[in-house]
Amino acid sequence: MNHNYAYAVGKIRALEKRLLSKSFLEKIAESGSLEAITQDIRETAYSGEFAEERELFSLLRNERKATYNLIEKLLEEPSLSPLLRLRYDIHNLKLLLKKEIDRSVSADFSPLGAISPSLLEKAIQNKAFLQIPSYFREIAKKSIALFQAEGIKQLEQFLDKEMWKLTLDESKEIKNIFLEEFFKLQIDFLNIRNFFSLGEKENFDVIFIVGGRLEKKIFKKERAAIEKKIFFFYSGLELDETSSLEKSSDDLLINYIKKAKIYSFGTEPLIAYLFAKEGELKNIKLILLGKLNNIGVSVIKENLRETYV
Amino acid sequence: MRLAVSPTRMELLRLRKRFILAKRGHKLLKDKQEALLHQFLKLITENKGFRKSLEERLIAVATKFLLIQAQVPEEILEGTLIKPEVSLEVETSREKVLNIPLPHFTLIQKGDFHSFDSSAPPSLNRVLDDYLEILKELLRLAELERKIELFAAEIERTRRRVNALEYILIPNLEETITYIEFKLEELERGNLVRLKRVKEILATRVKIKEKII
Repeated sequence: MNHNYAYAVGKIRALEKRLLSKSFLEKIAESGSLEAITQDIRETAYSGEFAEERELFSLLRNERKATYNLIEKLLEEPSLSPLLRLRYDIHNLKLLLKKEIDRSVSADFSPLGAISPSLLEKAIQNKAFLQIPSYFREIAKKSIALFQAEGIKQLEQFLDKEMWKLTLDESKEIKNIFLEEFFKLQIDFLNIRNFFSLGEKENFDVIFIVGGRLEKKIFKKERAAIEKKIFFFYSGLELDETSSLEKSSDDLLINYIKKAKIYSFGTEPLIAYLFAKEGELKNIKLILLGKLNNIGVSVIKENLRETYV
Repeated sequence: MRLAVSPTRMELLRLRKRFILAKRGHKLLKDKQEALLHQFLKLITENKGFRKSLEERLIAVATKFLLIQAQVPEEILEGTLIKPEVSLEVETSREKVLNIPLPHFTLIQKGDFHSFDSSAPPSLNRVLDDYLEILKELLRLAELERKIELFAAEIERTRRRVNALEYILIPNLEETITYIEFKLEELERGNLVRLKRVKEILATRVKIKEKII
């Protein structure tokens, strides 16, 4: 146990108290108007200055960024923060390569990546890979070669696999079992979700991500046997529909990170807080989008994910 | 209104031919108008139901998309949806029905827009499939609504032609034909009277001659 995290965990425990509960989110989802919701949100941790709904969305973006920065500041393992930001770096790399094909692409880079998008762009343009951190160097090199040889689709599949491989390897290296198990859960849920949403099952072999608890051979059995095996590992999953599968897997992930509540020291509470905050931001965004687009309260409430508190 | 033509027998024959032609044209146009109206009403009924069901489906898919939007950061979703290697094109062609050039739209998709990217939920692929289906249906709707517009314009044009024939050309021709017939009969009668008069004069002269002799 790392006793150096005493201050960090103390701070996180204080911040956890300000996380929104599911009953509060359900209450604001039931509010009649967007104004009422904004008023309720103002009374929580999101009390920043905002006047319009648009500003509320940027407030959520800023909150996500601030949470990542806070966790980065509190983490003492230098390799952990880039690992948590890896999906955003991967997104930026993909976007850069897509912009190579079509210069008119105007999508934004993610500000949450550990590597600055401009640095990544320069490194790719000048083939000066030494400028980028070592853990991302090989991925960037291989991506360019694959992108030139086979195209975007293969590149996306490659990057996805590499991302999970790197996250698992890193979490093993730093001997963080909590994080490793969390990533394994994510891999399993991703494989299950892909398996049940895929029309042609033969493509599943190509997109299967290695590293989870569920091995590829499990998915080669009859559907009933596959479901039985999945229920053996994850009894809370709902496999009937894609949307309910996605919701139940998100809920299981949140339930998993709740284990961090028993840790008094270490990185676990920090990581749990980061994912709990991400989940909370998603829930608020769902309510706001739902209200803005006149989605029924029951649909919003049905799709609200489990909360950390 | 009588047409400005000289009341000759030649003109009468020409006008009678025109009159028969106008009558036949009128009947044909009336039939066409009925056929157009029949088709038009069918299209309107089809369009009403089709549009309603399409709107309902569009709302359902948009709701699903919205739920995905809430789960994924904007920039990630936007990045996932950018597919420079995939293109959608619409090919247009025309076919003639009742002499109306009706448009036909075909959606041509190049490349696969599915993504198996762990940043976006797999349900995104289903929603994209649904959107593609809806896009095809929207093109069908556009086709249908354009058909309705073209049919309405054609019905209007045919109605004006039928009315022009029914209330202007045919009555005018009838009136002119009657006028020429009357005029010709008048001339005929004038001739007959003149001939009778000449005959009378000649008979009178013969009588006078006989008296003198």
